Amino acid sequence: MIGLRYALSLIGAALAAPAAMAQPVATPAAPPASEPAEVAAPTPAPAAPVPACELHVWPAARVSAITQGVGAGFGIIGALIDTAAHADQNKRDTAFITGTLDAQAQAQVLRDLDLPAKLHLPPSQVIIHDQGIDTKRDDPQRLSNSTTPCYTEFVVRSLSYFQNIAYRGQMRTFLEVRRFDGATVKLDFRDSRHEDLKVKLPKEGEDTGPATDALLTAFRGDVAFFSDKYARKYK
Amino acid sequence: MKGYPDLHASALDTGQQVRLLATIDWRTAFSDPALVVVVHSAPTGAADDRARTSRLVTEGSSPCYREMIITSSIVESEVFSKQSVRILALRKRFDDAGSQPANFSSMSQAAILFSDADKTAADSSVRLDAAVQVAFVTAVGKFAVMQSFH
Repeated sequence: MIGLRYALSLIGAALAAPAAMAQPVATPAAPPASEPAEVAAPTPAPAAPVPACELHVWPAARVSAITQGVGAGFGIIGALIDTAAHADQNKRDTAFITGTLDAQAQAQVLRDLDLPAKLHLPPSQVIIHDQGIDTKRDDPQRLSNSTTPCYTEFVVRSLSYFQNIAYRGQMRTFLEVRRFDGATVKLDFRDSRHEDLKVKLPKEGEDTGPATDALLTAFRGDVAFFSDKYARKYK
Repeated sequence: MKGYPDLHASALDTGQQVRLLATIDWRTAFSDPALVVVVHSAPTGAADDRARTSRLVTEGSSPCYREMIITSSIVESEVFSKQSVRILALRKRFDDAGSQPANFSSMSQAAILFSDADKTAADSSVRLDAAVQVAFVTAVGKFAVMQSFH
């Protein structure tokens, strides 16, 4: 007799919540790699010098998903009824986006894009933080404790999904770049970009694969478009 | 998060999930008395488990082998909707040695059953943690049923 063998592996817990917010994704450390066998070490190649500049990156601190029906167009009462009618769907979509585009997934996309090159920054050490952060327009201070003179911040401010009778489904990413001269911010560029999703977000029990791919593609497209726009504007 | 209600996510940290998964009667859930279940205590560490074509456990694994990976567990709340726990999970089925895996990823949710009496009890925080954990186990059970159709 052949017994089925299931490996149940856990990847960290995320929190979603009252629409328009997603709590930070707690990402447990990956399991340690097994110790390599002891072998005669070849002469190590000289390590590449670490760039003097730093680019600090934060994933989204907020996620929201809003679907509106026709009721939204009939005043406050209509909007309330419509919100109540779509509450479960909005909760489900928010949770799905929070889980799919968690801090790890965002970090992977941002690493693949090579942000320093895209933003036309000098060679930079990229430091990706694992918790989202809220930024304020009038806050000139750095978001990290770094004191390196050549310093830039890239913040994914929020991810927002919107759908109504006119729009099938849009994924909008709100982004910000802050460049510093010493301790003071000298440039603060904010913008957003949306991509139309070709697939619907899944319901419970449906295959989440196509929507996962669509969200990752949309996020990649939004970041790439924003970065190109920034680079054109401030070249 | 500052300014938002505590959703008791700590009730579902990795250690708690491992403990809760170990309480599930998988053999009954899958109607297979010969089922061997291994609950791992750490994340897979893979950058993309959906794209992975190899087994997570290669040494000594049965030819008939599956993986169920909880990719996210979410305590959720929304105006006009009750609190619930939702999991996003992935099932990879390897039917024999060397075969490509058949993936099924989906989500399932279960309501957090927390009565008015629980809210006013002196140990309401403990009770809410327990309710969150019960909902998690229920959601995992629902996913186990879902994946059996794919």
